[in-house]
Amino acid sequence: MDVSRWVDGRLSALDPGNWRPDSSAALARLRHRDTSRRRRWWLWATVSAAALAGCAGLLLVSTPSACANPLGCSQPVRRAPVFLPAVAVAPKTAAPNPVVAAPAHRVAPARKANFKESGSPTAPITCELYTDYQCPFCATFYLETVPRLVASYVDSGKVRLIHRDFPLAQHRYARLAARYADAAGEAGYYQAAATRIFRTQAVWSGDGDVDGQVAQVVPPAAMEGVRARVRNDPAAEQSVASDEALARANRIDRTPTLVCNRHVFTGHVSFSEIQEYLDPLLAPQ
Amino acid sequence: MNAPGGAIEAVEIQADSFDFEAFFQAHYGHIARVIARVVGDHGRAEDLAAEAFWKLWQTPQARGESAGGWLYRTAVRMGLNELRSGRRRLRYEALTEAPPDALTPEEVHAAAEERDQVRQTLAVLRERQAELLILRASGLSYDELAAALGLNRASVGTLIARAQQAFRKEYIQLYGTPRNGR
Repeated sequence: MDVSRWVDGRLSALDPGNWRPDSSAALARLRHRDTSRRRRWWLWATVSAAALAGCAGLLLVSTPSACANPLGCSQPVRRAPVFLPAVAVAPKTAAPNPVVAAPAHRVAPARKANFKESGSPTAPITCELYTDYQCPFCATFYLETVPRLVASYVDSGKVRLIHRDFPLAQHRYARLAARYADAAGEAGYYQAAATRIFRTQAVWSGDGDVDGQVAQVVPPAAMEGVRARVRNDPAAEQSVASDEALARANRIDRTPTLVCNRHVFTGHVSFSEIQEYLDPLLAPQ
Repeated sequence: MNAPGGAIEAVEIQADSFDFEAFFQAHYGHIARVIARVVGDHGRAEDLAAEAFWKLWQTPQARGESAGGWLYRTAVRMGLNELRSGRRRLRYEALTEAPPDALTPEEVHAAAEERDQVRQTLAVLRERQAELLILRASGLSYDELAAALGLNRASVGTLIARAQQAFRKEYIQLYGTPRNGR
C-alpha cells in the first residue's frame, strides 16, 4: 500500500474547500487592536508619568535642600507654602540687604527675662533672632554682628534681644545643638555655650559631638546636669519647639532671621543696616 | 491540494522596509486556510490567523526575509495547540461547511467523522510530524517546509515519510484498519 497516498487522502478531507477568508475585515480588526493598544500604552505612560512626577514631588518635598543660599539657610519647603511678605529692597545707600515688612509680628507674650533674653524688658524695641546652630551664616551673624548689636543697643537698654531656636530639617545636629545650648542656659551658661557651639560649628557638624564642645565651657559638675536635661528633660525640647512654632507663626523660613518690631532682616545682614533701621526709631521725636 | 504559489519565496522583504499591510493581504487568506484545516472552525481560524499576524507585528526580528516561514510555523502551531487544548468547535463546522448537494446525509456524516478522526490523529502525533503533514497538505514545497520548520532541505523527504508512517500507525491504532484498504 502507498502510505503517502493513503495519508494524503486522509488529510485532503481537511481541505476547507472554496472558503475565502475576509482579509480586509481581518486587517481592519488588527488595526483597531493596534489603535487600542496604542491608546492603552499612552494611558499607561501618562498615568506612569503622573505617578513619577508625584513621587518626585514628594521626594523633593521630603528631601532637605542644600544649604547654599547666600542669604542664609532656607527651610525645606515641607511645610505649607511660606509667604514671606513682598521683599522690598531698599535703595543701596539706605539698606542693600532685603528688608522685609512683616505682617503683624507675633511676639511671645511678655514674661520675665530668661537666659535667651538680654536687655531691658522695657526696651522700646524688641528684636528676635532666629538661628540654626548648624547654619554657617548664623554662626557668622551671631559671632560678628550680634556682639556689636548688644554693645550698642542692648546693653544701653534700647533693645531687648531674644535669641530663638529654629533648627532646620536639613541640618542633622542643629536640634541637638539647640537642646545643649538651652540645657546649658538652664545651668547659667547659655551665652558661653551658644558662642562655643557656633564657633566650633565646623567641628561638631561632622560627627554631632556637641557635647564635647559644650563641655569645654561648662564646668564638669554642671555639665552632668546639662547632659541629663538634654537626655531626659522635656523642657529642653519644649524650649526649641516653642521657638519653632513662633517662627512658623511668623512665616519665617530661613536663618538667620532678625525681626525688630515689624521689620524682618534675613540672611547675612550687616550691622550698619540694622543701625539704619534702629536709629530713626530711637531718635527723639 | 491548494498550492500557495511559492508563498514563502515571494516574501523577499527586508525588515527595515517591511510593508506589513501588503504582506498581510498576500498571506492572510492562505494562513487562515492552513489553520482552518486543523481547527475546522472558520471563524476560529480567522481569529488565530489574525493572532499570528499580530505576533508577527509584535516581533520585529521575525519581520524580514524569514517572515513567511516564521508565520507559517507560528500559524500551524497555534492551530495544533487549539486542537490539543480540546477547544475545537466542531459544532460550528457543520454550519460553516455546507455539504455539497450531491452527498447524502450519511455521506456528510461520514465525511465529518473522518475529518474528526484525522484531526484527533494529528493531535496525538509528535508536533514536528503534525506540522510537516499539515503544511505539506497545505501545498508547501520541500524548500518552503525546510524554511518554515528550520529543517535541512535534504532531510525533508525522509521526515515526511516518517511522519506519514507515524500518522497511519496512530490512525489505525485509534480507529482500526480502514475498510476497503482506504
